[in-house]
Amino acid sequence: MKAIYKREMRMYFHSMTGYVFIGFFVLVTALYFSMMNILMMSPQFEYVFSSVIMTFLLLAPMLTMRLLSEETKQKTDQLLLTTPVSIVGIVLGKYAAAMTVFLIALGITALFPVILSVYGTIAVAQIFCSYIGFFLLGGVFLAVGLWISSLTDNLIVAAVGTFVAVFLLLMTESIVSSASGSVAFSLLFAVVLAALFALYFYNNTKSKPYTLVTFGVLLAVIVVLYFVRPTWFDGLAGRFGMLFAVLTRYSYFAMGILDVSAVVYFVSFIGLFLYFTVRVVEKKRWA
Amino acid sequence: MIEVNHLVKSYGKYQAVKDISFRVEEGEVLGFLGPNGAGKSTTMNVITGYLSATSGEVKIAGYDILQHPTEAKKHIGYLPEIPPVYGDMTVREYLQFVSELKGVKKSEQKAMLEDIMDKIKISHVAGKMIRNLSKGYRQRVGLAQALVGYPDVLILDEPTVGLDPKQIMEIRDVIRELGKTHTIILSSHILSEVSAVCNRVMILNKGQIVASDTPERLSSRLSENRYLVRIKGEEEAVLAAFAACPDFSQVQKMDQVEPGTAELLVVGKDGMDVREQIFRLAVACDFVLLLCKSEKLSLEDIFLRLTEGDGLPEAEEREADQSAQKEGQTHESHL
Repeated sequence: MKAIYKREMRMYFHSMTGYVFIGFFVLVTALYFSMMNILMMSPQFEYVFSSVIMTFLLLAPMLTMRLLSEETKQKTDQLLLTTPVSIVGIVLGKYAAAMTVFLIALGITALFPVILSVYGTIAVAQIFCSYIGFFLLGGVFLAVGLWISSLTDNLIVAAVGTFVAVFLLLMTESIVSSASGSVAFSLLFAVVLAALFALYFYNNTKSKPYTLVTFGVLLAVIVVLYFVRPTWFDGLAGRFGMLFAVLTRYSYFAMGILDVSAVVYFVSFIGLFLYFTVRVVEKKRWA
Repeated sequence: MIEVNHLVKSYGKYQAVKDISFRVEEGEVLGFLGPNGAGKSTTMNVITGYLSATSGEVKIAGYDILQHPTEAKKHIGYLPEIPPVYGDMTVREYLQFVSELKGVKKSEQKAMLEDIMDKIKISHVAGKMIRNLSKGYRQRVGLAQALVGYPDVLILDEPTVGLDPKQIMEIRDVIRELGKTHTIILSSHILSEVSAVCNRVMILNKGQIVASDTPERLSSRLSENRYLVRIKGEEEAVLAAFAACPDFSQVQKMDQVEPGTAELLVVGKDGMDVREQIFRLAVACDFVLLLCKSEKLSLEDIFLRLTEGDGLPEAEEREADQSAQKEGQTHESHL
C-alpha cells in the first residue's frame, strides 16, 4: 500500500496534475474569499466553502480519472495484481494519495481564515467544523471517482462519468424535491428498483431461473408491503433519493454542528465506494 | 515447485483452457509452445494469480494461489506478454517501485537493483524515462522487474518477442543462466528458442496439452524410422520398385536434389527399422544407393503436426494414416 501511495504521489507532482489541482482549488477559494470576506467585510468563511463545492465537478475527475483506468489500459495492473500486494492495499494506497493532494490544497486555504482572524474575530470552531465537513465531502467525491475509474480503461469515460456522478450528487436535493410523492409513483419506483436489483443479480450469476425467482420474491414483498403498510410508500422515491443527499449533510457542518450521524454517513459512503472499487478490481479476475 | 491440477478457464461459454494438469519440478525450465490463442497466456495469468481459474487449482511452492495469494506470489516473478512498465518513470524509479511492491528490505534494495540491472544489461539506461526506451529495452526492463526480489519461480510470457536477433541471443543467454538457479516457465511460438532454452516442452493447442517431453525426445518420438533415400536412376522406376515392396508403409517422392537421382521418403511398416530392406531392395533392383539417412522431424514439423486439425493424439494418428493413404493414392496416380 505504501509503495502504491508513494508512486501516486510522485505521479501527481511529477506531472502537472497535483499543481494544477492545488492551484485551481486555491485560486477559486481565494476569489470567493476576496469577494465574500474581504470586499464584503464579512468574517463568515464557511460561505466561501459552500461556493467552492462546485469546483469538485472538475477537480474530482482530475484527481481520480487515471488512478485505475490507466493501470488497466497500460496492462500495469498485471504487475500490481501479481505482486504480494492486496487489492485492498492497492485501492487504499491510491485513494490515500488523492486525499493527500486534496488535503494539501485544503491546508493552504487555511491561510484565509488566519488572515481574517488578524483583522477581526472569527468563529474558530465553526470554521474548523466546516473544514472537517468539506474534507469528508471531498472524500465522498474522490471515492466515487476512484470507483468510476475502476470501471473503465478509458480516461475520458472515467472523467465524464465522475463529472456526471458529482453533478448528480450535487443536484440530489433539487431532483428529490421535484419527484412526485404519490403512492403510484413510489410503487413504480419500487418495481424499477427491484428490476435493477434483478438485473444486477443476473449479471453476477448468469442464471435466468434464479433471477426470475429473485425478481418474483421482490415483487411479492412490494405487494405485501403495499397491503400491510401502505403508508410506507408515501414519498418512497424521495426518501430513497435523500440517501444520496451529501450537501444536506454537509450543511450541518457549515452551520457549525459536528453531527456524529453525518460523520458516520460520510465515512460509510466513502467506505462503501472503496469497497465497490475493490470488488470491481477483484471481479476482473473472474471475467 | 509449480503444481497445476485440472485447470479450466472459461470466458463465458468459450473455454480458453480445458482441464490442464502438469507439474514443474525445482530447477526445471518448461517451455509452453502453441499457436496464438492456444491458452498459453491464460494459463500463465492463472498461475500468477492475475486471473482466477474457473475450476482446478494452482500451487506455487506448496501454497495455493487463491487461498494463500500473498505467500504464493512472493515466489513468483512474472513478465506478462506486454511488459507492465510505467512510461512516466525512469528505469531505476520503476524498479524501486517494484521492489517496494514486493516488500524488498530497504537495506538490500540498492545492491539487488544494481545486480539485476547489471545482469540484464540495463545499467546504462537506469536514469532514462521508460517511455523513451525502445521495445527491446522495455522488454528487458520487464524482465528485470520479474527478477526483483529474487523469486525462485519465473513465469515469462514470450520474453523475446519484438527483439532484434542480437538481443534475442542475449536474453536467451540470460534465461539459460537464470535456469540454473530458478524454476522457469516460458512461452513462445518460436520453436528454436524453446529447444535452445528449455529442458521440457509442452505443446498446447486449443487449451489442451497435446504433447509434453524433452525437445530431443519429442523430436525422435514422432520421427522414428523415417528415412530419406537417394538413389541413382530414373525416378519413376525407382518409385515403382519401392512402392511394390511390402516392408514399407509409406513411400513418398521428394523434390529432386541431384540430377539423375530419385529422392524418396520411406517409412517402415509398424515403425520398423528398414535400412537393411532398403539396401537389399536397391541391390536386388540394381540401384545405386547414394544416401540413406534417418529423417528427424524438426520441432517445427512436430508443432505443425500436433497443432493442425484438432490436435488430439488419437486424432493425430488417424490423420497421419489418412494422409499416408492420400499419399499412396497420389503415388498410384504417378504410376
